Amino acid sequence: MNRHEIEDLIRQDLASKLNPHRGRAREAFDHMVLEPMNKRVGQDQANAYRIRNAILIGLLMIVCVLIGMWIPRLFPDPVPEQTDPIHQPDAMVESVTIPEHPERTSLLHMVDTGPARTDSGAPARRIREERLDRYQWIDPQTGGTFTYIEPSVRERIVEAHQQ
Amino acid sequence: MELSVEELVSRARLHDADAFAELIQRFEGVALAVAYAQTRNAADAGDIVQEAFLRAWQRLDSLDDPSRFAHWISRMVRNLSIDLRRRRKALPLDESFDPPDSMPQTTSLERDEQKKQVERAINGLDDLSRECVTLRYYENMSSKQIADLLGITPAAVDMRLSRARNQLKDRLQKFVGEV
Repeated sequence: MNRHEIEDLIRQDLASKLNPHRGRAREAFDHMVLEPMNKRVGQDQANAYRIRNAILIGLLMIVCVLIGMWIPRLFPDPVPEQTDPIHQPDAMVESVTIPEHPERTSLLHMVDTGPARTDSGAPARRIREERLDRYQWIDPQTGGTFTYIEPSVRERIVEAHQQ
Repeated sequence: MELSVEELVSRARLHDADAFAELIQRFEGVALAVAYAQTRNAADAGDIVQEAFLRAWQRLDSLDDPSRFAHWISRMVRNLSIDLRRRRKALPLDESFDPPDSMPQTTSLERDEQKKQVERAINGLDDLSRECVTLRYYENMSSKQIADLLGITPAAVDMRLSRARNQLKDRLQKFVGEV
């Protein structure tokens, strides 16, 4: 048996034993490292896709708003035909001098609305006063008559007198 | 264009899985040869190589010189093999540990016996000589390449290979004589 025959025998022996195990390391690496990485990449891509869609939708909304703002400028409403302004008389503003002592007429209506107590706890009645003050005067310059009526309501407690 | 080992290691360090897969492709044979030389069991060698490359992927940053990747992975394989041997106590030196179904079923008894003689002759060598044999005859590495990987001289590699061949020749001649 010469050297080459011996070497062939060794080669065949080693190849028959070790070749079936070739590729296992790669498979294990793919399984342990590449697949999780690809999965992660897939998730990252899905997230990136969602973010991109959100950005696109946002941009689309902004564009819609801008278009909405620009359209009235691009197509303005027809300007109404210019006409001369209608001259309306200025509001009547005249100074009225109220005399120092106008004629005053007062109507007083008092209503007893029920029992009450004074601050000191004494028995009293609650009285509602409905008052109507009417002021009237004549402007000496124009001879016009001015009337001013001022209604007022107030309540007061009136101590009841012992009988 | 084929990338250099240094480039592949640099890329793999940046988590380029394809670059590392290429490193596995290139050095799996060397790793298997070293693992088989240490364990004398092909299935164990496959397990160890698998484990070694997964560890290498995780520890690539600890590799000082990227051009020495083969040396680094071989050392890792050797250490893992030694761990396995320690766990299983001492392995008998002249027995095959491969399961019977790893042997071809269709070969004749004579060829089966011849294969066993080859296997026993290889298993009968010391660890370093066995590594020389597996690297030369499984990976077709030159004496210089083997010497670089094992940290011995090319002459020492040649001497160990020659001794291994003679040992196998003796075994086979005895076997032929018996037949």
